[in-house]
Amino acid sequence: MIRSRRLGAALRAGTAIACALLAAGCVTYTYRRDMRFEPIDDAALDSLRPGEADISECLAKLGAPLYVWEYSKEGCALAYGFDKDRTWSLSVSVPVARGFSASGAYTDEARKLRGAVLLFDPTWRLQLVRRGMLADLSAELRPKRPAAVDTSDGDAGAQGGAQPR
Amino acid sequence: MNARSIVLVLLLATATSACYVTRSTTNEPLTRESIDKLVPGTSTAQEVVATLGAPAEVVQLGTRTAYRYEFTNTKRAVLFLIVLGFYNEDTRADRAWLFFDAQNVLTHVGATLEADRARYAMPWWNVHEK
Repeated sequence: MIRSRRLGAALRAGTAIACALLAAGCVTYTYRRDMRFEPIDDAALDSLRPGEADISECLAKLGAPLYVWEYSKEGCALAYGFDKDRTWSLSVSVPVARGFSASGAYTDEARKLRGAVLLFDPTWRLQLVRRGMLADLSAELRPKRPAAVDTSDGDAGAQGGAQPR
Repeated sequence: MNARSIVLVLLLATATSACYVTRSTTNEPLTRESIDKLVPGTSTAQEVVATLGAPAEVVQLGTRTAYRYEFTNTKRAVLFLIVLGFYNEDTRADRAWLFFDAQNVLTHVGATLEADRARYAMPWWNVHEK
């Protein structure tokens, strides 16, 4: 009785290992961590007072930003950010024809930089500090580029020119 | 070494056959000495370029400009155990932003030198905890 139970357990273990080995080329379960840049020093960021701190103080306390862009007229924006993500993902790859393969992956979390954007007026005095995901802050605070004028179609000009995208 | 140990070693060698570390870098490292040579109010854009080389990016800020210098250092450690993978990527950078007035005179410098803090690690190791 005990012997047959042991045999059953060994068979199940053997089957599991065999399945894992057979699936090794097409199924991958991955635990991944991505770290990009140093986290922002929250104490230093909190010590910067809008209307008081200038760009020199901000650069001295926070170091070099990731991005810089023009904000308002002659003003500027400094963006600080970092990423520290842990994700589990399951990848499946199945060959469907000679020379091709179909693959799909499910990842539980998108990778994004989070941090803060500091806005400076034309005298480069700190005006505002916004925290959050840099992609969102950038979309909100970066100046929008004007739409390109499409000159490829002669009729478009006759009908009133390019439309905003 | 007995038979059990040999089997164990062979199993471990088979299971960790897809285990590797890689390192990739972009641009040249920045040094504190070269940045300290640049003096706000005195150094010009020409002197900055002569000292640090061509910037990675130039941003126009109205009549002013800003130059970005950046060196990135990425270290990856990967371990595959048959169908289970562990992947860790650590990126750190040396970065400097230099701001110039309308006359191309250096006005402000912001520098962060942390590229040498990138580490090879497994995802569960806390290599940067303060």
